[in-house]
Amino acid sequence: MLRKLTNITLFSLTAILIQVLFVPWMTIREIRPDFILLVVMFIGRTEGRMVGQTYGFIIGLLVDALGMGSFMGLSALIKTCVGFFSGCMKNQRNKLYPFYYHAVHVAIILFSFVIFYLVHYKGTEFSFQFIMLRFVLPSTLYTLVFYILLDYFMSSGND
Amino acid sequence: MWEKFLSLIVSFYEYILFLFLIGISFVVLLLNENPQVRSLQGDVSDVLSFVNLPKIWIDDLSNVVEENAKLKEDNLQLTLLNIQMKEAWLENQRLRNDLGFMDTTRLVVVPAKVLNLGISPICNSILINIGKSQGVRPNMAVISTKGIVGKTVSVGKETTLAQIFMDVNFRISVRFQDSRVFGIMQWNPNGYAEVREVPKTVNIIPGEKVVTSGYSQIYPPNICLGEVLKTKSSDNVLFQTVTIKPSVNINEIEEVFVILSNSCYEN
Repeated sequence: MLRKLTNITLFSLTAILIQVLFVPWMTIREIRPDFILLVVMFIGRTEGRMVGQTYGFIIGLLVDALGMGSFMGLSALIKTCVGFFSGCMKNQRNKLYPFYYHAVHVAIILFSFVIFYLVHYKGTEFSFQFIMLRFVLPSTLYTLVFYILLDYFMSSGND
Repeated sequence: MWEKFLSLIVSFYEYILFLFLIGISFVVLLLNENPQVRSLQGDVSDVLSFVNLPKIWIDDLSNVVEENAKLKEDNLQLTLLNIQMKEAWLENQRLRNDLGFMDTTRLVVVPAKVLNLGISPICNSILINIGKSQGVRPNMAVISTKGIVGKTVSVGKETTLAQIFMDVNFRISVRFQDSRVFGIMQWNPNGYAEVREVPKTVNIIPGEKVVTSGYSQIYPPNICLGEVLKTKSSDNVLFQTVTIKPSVNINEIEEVFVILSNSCYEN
């Protein structure tokens, strides 16, 4: 248990450091990948709903407090959902058809960005279509690239 | 009843926790504008600010080269600006002096800017930016605020070539201000002017001012030429040679005056 907690903590710190240090350099026209989201997803699908959502909530609050998210509580809300839904995918890799399995993860990433950008741009002049095309889809695709890489390297042992 | 409720909670504890966490997140989100929440966010951010330290460190390192180049460029710009400002200040000082000189002198003068110090290997003429259009004619005295510079030789419409006192062919009638003796000053290529054939009986001491004599149709009297540096005489001759340090440094002059008329002295 302690070992697992230590691993999760180290994993989280690494993700936060990557997000803080390297993501600003990876920004393409205000679009950037969300490594913390990926960490929550992988912890959720490895440890289950309970750990996933709790971890998502805590790290989400941490991210909000660090000012990486502009609305206090928004990241906590999104990461809790991501942790929970990813937890639903625990031990489902070999049971589900691979397309559905990965489609759920893509949907989770898309959902998180939809919530994030809709709340973020609530009350602005931007239309829903514009927000989707300009921010949500590019961010989802950018994060998906790293999801595919991480999934490729981590899938062999975790599920 | 309670057992059934508890077993329901145990069965669905993950969902209940999910709803609870979502609820807390919503509450925090709705209280986003609350000053206490903002204050809490600021406090937590302060505590966790160490996370940003590596970023600041890396940013600082990555900016050093760029910042250094920028500072060098700024330094160059400021140096150039400083030189320009100093030039402007010096020009201002000179022009103020010139203005004072023009107000106080009784001569009819026209100011001119020195365009160049001649094109020959030795400095024996200057080109100034006034000519016939301004009333300049050949053989007019050219002076500066410090003293005699030379005389006009070739006059164009807008420019004039002036022979300066450093030309070995230049001659000017002078008077030693204290001893009141006259002589002809000419340039010696060793770097100083000389007045030859001054009677040995005249006691000339170093530092004495040398001015124009007034025995000339070109130069008005009492215009400074320089001061005595030393005298030289031999035992078997009746005359002495006086070495004079000119008051005007040709290499420094930028503005001069051409005396159009010295008729006031003739009256």
